[in-house]
Amino acid sequence: MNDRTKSLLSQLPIVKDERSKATIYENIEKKRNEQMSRTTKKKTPWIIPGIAAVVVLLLAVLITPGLFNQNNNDSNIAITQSSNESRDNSSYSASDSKAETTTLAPAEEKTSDTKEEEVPTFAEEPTVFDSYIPAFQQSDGISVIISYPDPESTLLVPLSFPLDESKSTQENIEFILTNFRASDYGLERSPLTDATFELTNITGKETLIVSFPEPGDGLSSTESIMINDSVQQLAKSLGADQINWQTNGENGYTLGNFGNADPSVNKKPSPYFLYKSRTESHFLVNGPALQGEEGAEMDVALSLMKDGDQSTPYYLPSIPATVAIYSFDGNGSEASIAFTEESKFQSEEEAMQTIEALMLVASQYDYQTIRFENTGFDKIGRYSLNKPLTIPSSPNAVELN
Amino acid sequence: MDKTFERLYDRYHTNLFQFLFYMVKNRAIAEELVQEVYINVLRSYHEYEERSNEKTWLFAIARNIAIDYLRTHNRRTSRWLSKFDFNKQHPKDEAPLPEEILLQKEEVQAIYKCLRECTLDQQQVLILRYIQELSINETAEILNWSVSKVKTTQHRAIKALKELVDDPANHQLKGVL
Repeated sequence: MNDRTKSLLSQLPIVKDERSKATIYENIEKKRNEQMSRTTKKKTPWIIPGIAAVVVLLLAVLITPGLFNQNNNDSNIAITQSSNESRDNSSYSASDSKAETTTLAPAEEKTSDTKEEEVPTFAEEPTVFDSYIPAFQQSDGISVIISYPDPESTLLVPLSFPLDESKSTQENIEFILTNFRASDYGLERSPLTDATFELTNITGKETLIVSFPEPGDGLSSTESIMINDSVQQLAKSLGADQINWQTNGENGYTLGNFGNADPSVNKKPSPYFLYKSRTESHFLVNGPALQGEEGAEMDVALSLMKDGDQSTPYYLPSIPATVAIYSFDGNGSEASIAFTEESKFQSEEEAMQTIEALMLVASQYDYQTIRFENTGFDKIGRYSLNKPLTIPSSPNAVELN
Repeated sequence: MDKTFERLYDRYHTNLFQFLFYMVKNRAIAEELVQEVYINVLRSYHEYEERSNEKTWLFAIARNIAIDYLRTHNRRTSRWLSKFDFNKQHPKDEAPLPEEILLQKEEVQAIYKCLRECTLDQQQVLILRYIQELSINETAEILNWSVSKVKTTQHRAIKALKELVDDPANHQLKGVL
């Protein structure tokens, strides 16, 4: 019956402008003249704004020290409230709560340090949420993604770790694989635990060399997928153009029944879903890559992120049911997403999950900044929503235990 | 009278006005916006490149002006409401139907009402394709989208519109998704 809908649409009446051509032109001329006189007016009387600016500057010089004082007091109140909240919400003991230590530290400094010129820097500190682990920011350096499977091996959770540039790729990854306790987050050990890694340039292409100690012929399908996807994620996060799969230092690696592992890096976009681990940690995870035309437009990914993936129920929608996107626009490297007026996030944490999922999916479509409208918040975590946000590097920035 | 204005008016005014009217669903606002379109066009006509299609160029300007209006309007309403914490009881847009629509049969009136409930992207495609009767390529050019995105959005828009007409109670959160 879609033809009926189309036919009814085409029956919508022609709505005519009842004004004459002359009237419209008159209005246009009037407006143009108004606009022109406004711009010329702006050019001549600069004296009044000039004087006003000088007065404002003088006032600023006089009252700035007082304002700093005021700010410091306000900060203390905010920090105290924040630490109280985290104390109330946190199930950790006072001694090991990360939330408390990160939020309390600046307040403690304030009580012992009375230097007025010191500007509080806590606003730039990452906010600690009860369950959601925010993304790794570009301003925090370079990250590397190591993926960890859920206990049922149904999905991989990509976790971001800071990359120490003074160390080699192998040293960095080995350090993470040795020191990170995935079980603290309800995740299993990485399928790459026994492999070695090297990032090198082979004939002008950045190449990730990954070598496994044992042949992969006997791997199950699930094991093969987990290994392949983990290596792919790692290669992407290191900016590799290709993968050199090796078995015990020899070229080539077989992924069970799938046969020879693919040396190309899969850069197809994929939607970001939400995954809740058994320890109630919330992570953003990549859904299946979007193929062909599906992947060409970001709205397909957005649609999946809103509805979830029916075939894989453990991928939860990263855009909550109470929120809808009114419009999505891309202009060069900047995207703009406006939520509908009726949209309502249940909490700052939920808003954070959603905007980071949206930013990370946008980054796959080459957007570098993103502007959000109608979130209902002026600030979410460390993001000030009154300006375009720089897209984070990678999801789920965990700390090494 | 400016010759460029005169020529553009004679050739495109009815379509431009109609497009803006169906975008904003308000005659007075469409009248204001169409003037805004001409002001922009006359200001930047020297930048217009002969090789591109004049019609799609004009419609792209009209579309941007309409979107800007809808965004600002949407934002203002939202901010005003949030000040009073009325978010939960946000009133629906109950603007009376324009006279031209009231004269139509019920089914056409229903289509007009349901069009208001579609997402902004869907509305643009439906208006350009079925009310303005533009081709997919022209629509893609105006919206600065790929042809495949126009096709996908058109398919979803018709489906959404049909569902809304069949079940008017099924008014979900209005949005792209």
